Amino acid sequence: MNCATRITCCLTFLLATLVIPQALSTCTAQQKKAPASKIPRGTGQIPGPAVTPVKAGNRQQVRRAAANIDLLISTLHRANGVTPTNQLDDDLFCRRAFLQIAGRIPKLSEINRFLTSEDPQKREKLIDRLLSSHDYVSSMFNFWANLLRLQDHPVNNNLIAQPFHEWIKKSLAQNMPYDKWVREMLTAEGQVWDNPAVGYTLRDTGMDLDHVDNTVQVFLGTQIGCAQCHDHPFDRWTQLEFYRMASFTFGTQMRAPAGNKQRFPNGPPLQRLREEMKKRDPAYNTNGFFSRIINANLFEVDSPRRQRLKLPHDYAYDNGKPNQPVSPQPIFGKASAPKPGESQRDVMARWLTAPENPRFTRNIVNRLWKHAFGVGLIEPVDDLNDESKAASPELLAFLEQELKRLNYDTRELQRIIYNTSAWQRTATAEQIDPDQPWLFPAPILRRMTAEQIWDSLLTLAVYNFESFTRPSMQGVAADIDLELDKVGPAEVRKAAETFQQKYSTAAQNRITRQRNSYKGKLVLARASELPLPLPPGHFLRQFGQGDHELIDSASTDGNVAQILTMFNGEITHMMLEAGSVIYDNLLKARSVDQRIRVIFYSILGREPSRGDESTAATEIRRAGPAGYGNVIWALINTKEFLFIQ
Amino acid sequence: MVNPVPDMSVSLQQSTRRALIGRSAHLLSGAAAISGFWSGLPAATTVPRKPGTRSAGRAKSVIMIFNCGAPGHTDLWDMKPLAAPEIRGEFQPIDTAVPGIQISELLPDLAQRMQQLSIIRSVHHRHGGHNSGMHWSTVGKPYRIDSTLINPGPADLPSLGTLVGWLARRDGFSASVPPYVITPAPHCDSTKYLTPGQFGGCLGNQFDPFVLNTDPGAKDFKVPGLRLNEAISPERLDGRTALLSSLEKSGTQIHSDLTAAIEEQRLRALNMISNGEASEAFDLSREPTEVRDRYGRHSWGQSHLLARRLIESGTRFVTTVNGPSITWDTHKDNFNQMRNRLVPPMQQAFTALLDDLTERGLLDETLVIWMGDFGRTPRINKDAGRDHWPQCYSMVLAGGGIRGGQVVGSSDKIGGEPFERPVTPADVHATVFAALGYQADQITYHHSDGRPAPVCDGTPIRELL
Repeated sequence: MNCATRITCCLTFLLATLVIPQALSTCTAQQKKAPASKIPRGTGQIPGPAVTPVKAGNRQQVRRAAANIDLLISTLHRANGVTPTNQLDDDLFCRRAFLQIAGRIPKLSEINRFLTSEDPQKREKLIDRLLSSHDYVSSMFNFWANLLRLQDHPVNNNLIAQPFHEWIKKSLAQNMPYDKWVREMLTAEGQVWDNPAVGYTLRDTGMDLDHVDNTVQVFLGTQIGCAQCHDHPFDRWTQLEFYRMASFTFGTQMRAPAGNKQRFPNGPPLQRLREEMKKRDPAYNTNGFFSRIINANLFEVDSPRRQRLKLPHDYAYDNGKPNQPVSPQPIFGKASAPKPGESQRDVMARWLTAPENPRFTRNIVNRLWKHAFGVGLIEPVDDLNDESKAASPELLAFLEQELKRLNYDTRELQRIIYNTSAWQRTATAEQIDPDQPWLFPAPILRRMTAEQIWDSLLTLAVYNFESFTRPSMQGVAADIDLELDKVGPAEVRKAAETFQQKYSTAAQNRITRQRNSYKGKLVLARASELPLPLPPGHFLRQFGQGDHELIDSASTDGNVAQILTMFNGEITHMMLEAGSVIYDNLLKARSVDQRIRVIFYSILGREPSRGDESTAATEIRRAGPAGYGNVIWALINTKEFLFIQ
Repeated sequence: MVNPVPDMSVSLQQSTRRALIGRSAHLLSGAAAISGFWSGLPAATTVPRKPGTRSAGRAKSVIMIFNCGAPGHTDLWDMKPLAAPEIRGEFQPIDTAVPGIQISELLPDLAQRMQQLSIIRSVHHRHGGHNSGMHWSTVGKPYRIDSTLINPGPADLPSLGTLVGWLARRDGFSASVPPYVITPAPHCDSTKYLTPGQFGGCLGNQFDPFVLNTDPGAKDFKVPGLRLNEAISPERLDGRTALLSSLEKSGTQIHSDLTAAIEEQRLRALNMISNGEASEAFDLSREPTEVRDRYGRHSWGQSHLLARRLIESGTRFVTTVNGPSITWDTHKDNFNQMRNRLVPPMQQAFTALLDDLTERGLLDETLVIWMGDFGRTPRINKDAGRDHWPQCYSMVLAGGGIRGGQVVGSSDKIGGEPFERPVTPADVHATVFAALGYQADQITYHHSDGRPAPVCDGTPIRELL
């Protein structure tokens, strides 16, 4: 009997036992009334915009492109004598696809559905279904949050960035073309609740030069930061080139000019409103939310009207003089002239996102390839330069050409990548030699990201955890948008109080603690629906979620605190309690064998080996019912659980 | 037949809790010993403990008392009785046990112990934001921006504590307690912005301190995850880990550098959970009531006591944070706050620690260092407060072979600038490394971009050694 048939058989068997859970659980309830679970359950409804599904009609095209990639990779392998790893079996494919696309392990029901299906196209259908899900939005949000350094209150507490984060999720759900998405972020003007894409620029408030450096690094995969202070020591960028590039966006206004008489004829709003409030009610504290709301309203992005950037006072090179004004010019290629009504920011955004800009496409293709395989076609992904060469230039060129053909539909490009047999191979633990090109015998063995671990544990423990989204800031404009020169203190006070009650960090904590926490403490929502950044002691930070201070600050290193948490932490205890998903699924199965199967499929996505089975069965015989808990505990602590094969 | 309701969370509740030293041995492959869990690096590179100066190399461990938010130097250690009233403030200087040295009337108990203390009155740096200031004090170098809205990250330069822990492991640290501990919580500005440097930073998160993140002053204080859940007996944990190792054998084999690291960390974690020594070290209830009372029944006092217990068990560096957050940040009502709220518990804990270490004969090998983010403005502001002042402030050292009963450096008439012998935080760190027997300028670590850097680039203060 071959492996696949065997799995299907076992699963059918398992499924047969799952057909009658209703009766079993009723019967169980009568025998012993289960205590009310402390684990919250979601409704199953997922708030937020619907996800645009991928087009089923494109499958033929996807297959062709995937086959072409495989051809290029096998050419590479033949030329270099590389033997690729084997294709994944269905069970491991299912787990990999979920972790990669949905950012979590599959639920038992999802595994059942996939493994028992006899549809020859079930792999492509699963990929399509996952790419069309909220899980995909959540997982890609985590990807971008790490690169865009998303924080709820970047720079200071007055700045509200959550509408920007909601906009990113919406753009992902609606599958906005990537080039358009980047252009919107680079050119947006206004306040964050009217035009949430301004959040991108506001993230770097007060850091005009770093902002340029960050933009070039994230969207062009190029490091020009060194040239901010001196000619780049390892690359060709000169300080003059950096300043010319920076000149496009330098002076972008991030705060409304409070002292400007034309803008605010009644005087600087903060002072005026605080004084008026003090007159009206001397006891009222105008320091807290009252001031915060005024300051929040002052944050708005406006493109610079004239270029103001000058070379630094200590400029040391021959190609310019200290304090000499610099006119905008891109670091390579040519920018078009501004059209009527356009600012230099528009010009820069058009240059940066143009299909003719080689690094714009190369950067995102390379980053998405790395997201899929664990290694970029060019490494490091954020240091592309004139000399960098992909292991297979043909493959890189093909991917770039595809993305252009797809009009920057990055999700469709991911769909193609996940349909390749190159991606569907078992992971390799082979060491990567940074001096040798990586020839992609397989995706590399990776530990789950912090977000994948957290979301996977929720999958095992919490029903419908996808429903627990963050309290939305959708209505925030109506509640706190003030016409600062016209309003009186009473309106500010009302807005401040509304904000404090509905949107403040404390309010959001109160809501989530009441609605979806374990014992009023541990908030159980998937990683993409938790505050950013989380406090350092949080599970996600412990496992390497970044602080979002620097680009790509996440890590998958291990430490002792992680182990203590997995061994003995709250989330582990929760999983072993009545009312957790895995606990209930276990109860629904009838025999020891079937229960062992439930545990293995739920946690590792595969059937137990013969050795596994006998070890687990011995344990359960030895320890009685507690033995099930011990087996679950042991499996979530295995390396196999933490690693994606 | 299967039991219809497997009760997975509770079993063996009646079983007695027994110490489990060595019980995790089945997780070890071959005959590897439990000791040496904390040594992360090959033991080939031992550091020569250079003789030379008299006291260098006598210290084995360090307790850093960190006063978060910046205590005013001219109200505590560097009094200016001759300055104008708007400078000198409300407090009078008093004599100490060392003739010629005076400190604040708020510190009578420490004044009596001046023989043990050395005050450096000319420390200075240039970051006026809390977190960047704390960074400069504890890392000995500026942060890339001067701001309090910053957070630790993987590229951070390591602080004194991180480096001492790193060196300890490099040299084969073998205790069951962690080499570097922060209690009760990292120093920070609000809980949201933590000072960079106090974690592993560019050395990697395997060199993170063990952070308590819980209040040792609380009635039911215990370390999360460290002590077994009540429902889980040591036997059951033992059984579970045995099960884990056999399931890893029967299941899919995964091997890589990362998985090897996990195996090692697992042993360390398990050692901490199940080894009596580690959980005993963290168990303050084992201290006699009068000892606990002497330190003060508050977070600061109990945290100092915990520091002593950890040092005794082998921890090399403990940061005990007088917080929470920037509690010493007295922009308003400085004098009442210092007199009533801040100084009494600080002095009580510090004094109790010095006495306790002395009585146990540990002071000579335990270096105690007292500091804050920076100093506070010589001139009193309109709210009877003092603002931030990195230009000049005081640090205090005791024990660890350091020569006590002296003052190093001096400030000008108002405490505004160093007057004699300016000292940088890096110089103080260099002194600590020297006291520990390290030649800090000869040992290098690597920044996250691969650049090598000496462990410390300051100059040891010879008067102290």
